[in-house]
Amino acid sequence: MSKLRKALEKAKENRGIENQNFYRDIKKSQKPISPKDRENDLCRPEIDICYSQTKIKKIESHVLRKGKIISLFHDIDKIDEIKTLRTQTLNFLNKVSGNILLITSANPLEGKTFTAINLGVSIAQELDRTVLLVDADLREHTKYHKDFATDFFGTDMTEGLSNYLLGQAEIPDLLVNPGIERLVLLPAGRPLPNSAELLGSPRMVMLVNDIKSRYSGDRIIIFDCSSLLNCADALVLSRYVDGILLIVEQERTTAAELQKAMELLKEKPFFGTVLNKSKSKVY
Amino acid sequence: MENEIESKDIKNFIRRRKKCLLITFFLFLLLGLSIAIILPPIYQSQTTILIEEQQISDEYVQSAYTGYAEERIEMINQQVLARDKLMEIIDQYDLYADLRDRLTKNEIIKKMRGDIYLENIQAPLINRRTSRSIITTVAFTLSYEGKDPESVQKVTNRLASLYIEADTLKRSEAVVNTTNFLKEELSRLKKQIQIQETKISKFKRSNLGQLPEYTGSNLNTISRLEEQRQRIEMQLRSVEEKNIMLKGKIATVDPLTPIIIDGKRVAANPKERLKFLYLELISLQSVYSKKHPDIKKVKREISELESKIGKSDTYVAKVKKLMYVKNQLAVKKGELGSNHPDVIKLTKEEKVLSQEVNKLATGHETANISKEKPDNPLYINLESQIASTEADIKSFKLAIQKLNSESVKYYKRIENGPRVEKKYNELLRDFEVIRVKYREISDKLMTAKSTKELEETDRGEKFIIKSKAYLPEKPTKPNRLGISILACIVALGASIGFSSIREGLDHSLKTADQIKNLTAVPVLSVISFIVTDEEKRSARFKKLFWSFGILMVIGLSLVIVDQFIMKLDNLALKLNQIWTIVFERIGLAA
Repeated sequence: MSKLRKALEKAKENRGIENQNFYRDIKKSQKPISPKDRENDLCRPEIDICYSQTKIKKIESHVLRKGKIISLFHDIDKIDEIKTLRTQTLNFLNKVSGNILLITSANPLEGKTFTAINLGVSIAQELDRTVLLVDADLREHTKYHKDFATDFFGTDMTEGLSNYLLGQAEIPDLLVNPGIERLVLLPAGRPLPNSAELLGSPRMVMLVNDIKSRYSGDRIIIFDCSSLLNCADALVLSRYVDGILLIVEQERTTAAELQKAMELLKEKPFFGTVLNKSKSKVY
Repeated sequence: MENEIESKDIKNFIRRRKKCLLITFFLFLLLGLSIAIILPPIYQSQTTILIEEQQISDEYVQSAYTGYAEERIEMINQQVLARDKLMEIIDQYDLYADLRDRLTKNEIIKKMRGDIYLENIQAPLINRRTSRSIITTVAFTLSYEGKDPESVQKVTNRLASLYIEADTLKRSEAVVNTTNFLKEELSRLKKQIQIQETKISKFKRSNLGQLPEYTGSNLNTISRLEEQRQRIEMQLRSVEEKNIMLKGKIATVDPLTPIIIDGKRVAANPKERLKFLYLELISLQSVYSKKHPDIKKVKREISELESKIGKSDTYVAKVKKLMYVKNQLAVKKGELGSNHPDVIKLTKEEKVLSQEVNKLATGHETANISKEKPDNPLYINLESQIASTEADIKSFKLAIQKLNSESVKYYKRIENGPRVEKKYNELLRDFEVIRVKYREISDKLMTAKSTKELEETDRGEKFIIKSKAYLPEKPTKPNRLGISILACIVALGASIGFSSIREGLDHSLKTADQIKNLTAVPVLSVISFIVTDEEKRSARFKKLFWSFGILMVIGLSLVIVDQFIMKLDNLALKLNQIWTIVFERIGLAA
């Protein structure tokens, strides 16, 4: 009993610490930054995080490879494309001094999640940033697309954002580290029918504010949500973000759809598109 | 930049439309190849018929046919391809058996006509007379196509023989018709000639002597007659002279020997005396009465003379005297009135004379009962001479008359000469015309007869079969290779076309530029399509699975076929047959 009690108490302690430090995991080391560098933003401190509270689910690399998370594997030559995207995205975010991204597309299954995850992973590869990848696609699971946890990471993450929005859980409990350094996932959880409303709820606002303020500069937050033309979720989310990225699937998205999407993204911080699933060798 | 099609665009197009291209291509190809294989082979057999010139040059004998070879061939074509002839052949060789139920007889015959081909072979020939080269038909090929090679060959040969028969028939007909016609013409002309000849001879006969050929003789005759007449006229003149002379002589001679009355010569001519006495008597009667002695005296003399001579014919004298007296009376009456004694005298004389004249008139014919015959020999001689001369004169005159009439006749002939000549010439001319024609036709008939001879001994221009129809070993149709190639091309075209249409209808975004143009923001990255090895493997597995599945289906269907439709062995046999045919066809095509 004592062992058990000890363990329980330790756990409470940890939780307590965590309640204060919402998301913060103990940074292992941090080099001091000169103020000049900080101004320039060029030199960032290397971040080396040790995840204390966040769950760690080590995913096998072959599973990751199968899940098309190519940014991890330097032998695949296509990662340069992701890197290009990463660089431009970061430039933009720097420009607007923002750190929240929304990734969406006109139609489902165009590669939003793929891009989001790979972009997130790629950014996480940069030694001076951390990434929070939020699966905000709370729609019903379809034949082709469950959630990114299942599709891309090969594991089952049943609890996620939906639970938080329903008030069933708190964020710290829901975060997952998939064994990739500096990357934290917030899965979607159970699909909800009223996702649009929930995503606009005060709890969501609270979440966003908190994320934003807490890790500005270091942490990039990427929201992966459902397609624009399907439902209003993306539009709702677009209120909270600093930049919107539109994914276009080559030879599937039509010009009309793109235009419709453009209409919807008017006056939103839409900063670029990605041509995905390109089968042409040269662009 | 968008309008130019670069090679990468084409590559992308092919990549995108791979499925569409391939499926369409193979679909059409399959279709085409099936057609190429399924179409039944059609064999064609051909025979060449040569138009052989007549063996004897047409300088000597004219050909029976003067038309162009093409016309001839065409006409014979019409004959041979007639409905009944073709029906015969169809029945004989049992052609188009499979089409009998589906098509009407007319349609089958039409089809057969379509299966028969006739082609003229032409060559430049040099016309012997003008030595210019003309392109004429020297031969023609006859071919027939059908499904069964043996019957095709037979039919071709049959058709060829039909053609030759038809041609021979035509030519002999032509010849016979020509000769018959000419013969008829000839006989008609002959009749005409005969008619004309009769006309001419009738004319000759009716105008004998007036014909121009007689003119000479007519003139001669006329001159001869003239001469004769002149001679006779001269003779006549001389005789007339003699006659006058004799008459003159005889006037001086008393026909009677002088009569002696009372011893004195009363009168040289007692007739005269008597006449005188009559007249005397009448004048005396007018003055004196009957009882006067002068009147009695005269009466006595008269009766004596009368008894000697006979009653003299004084009728004429009396009539004369009566006329005279009437005149006198009229004059005297007018002068002196009716009561003058001269007038009374004349009236009495006139009364007596008229009585006498009336008496004599009735008894005139009987007055000459007793004519006093002259008995003076001189007188008699002279009288007879006179008579002979008078007879001569008469005969001469008659002769002259006859001669004159003859002359007139001949003159008339000469007059009519020109007119008759004209008519005669007309007749002759017509005759000549007919005769010339007759000769012409006669010549033509000769030619026709020799042509006929030529034909009958088979040396005329004729069709001969240069090469008989052979048994076709390979089918001429369909051109399987050609169809296959065409099928390939069509498949290609169709696939490209179809794919292009689909591409055209595809409005999806393909390049970053397109996106950039639509959005105002740049394309941040182009991410390639990523296929994991897992996915590749699973795709391959899927393909395997599907092929396996299809094989299973085929296996299952074979089992079903075996169970319910026919034994697999039979099926195999049938398939083998089909395969052999297909192979043949492909092999043959290749």
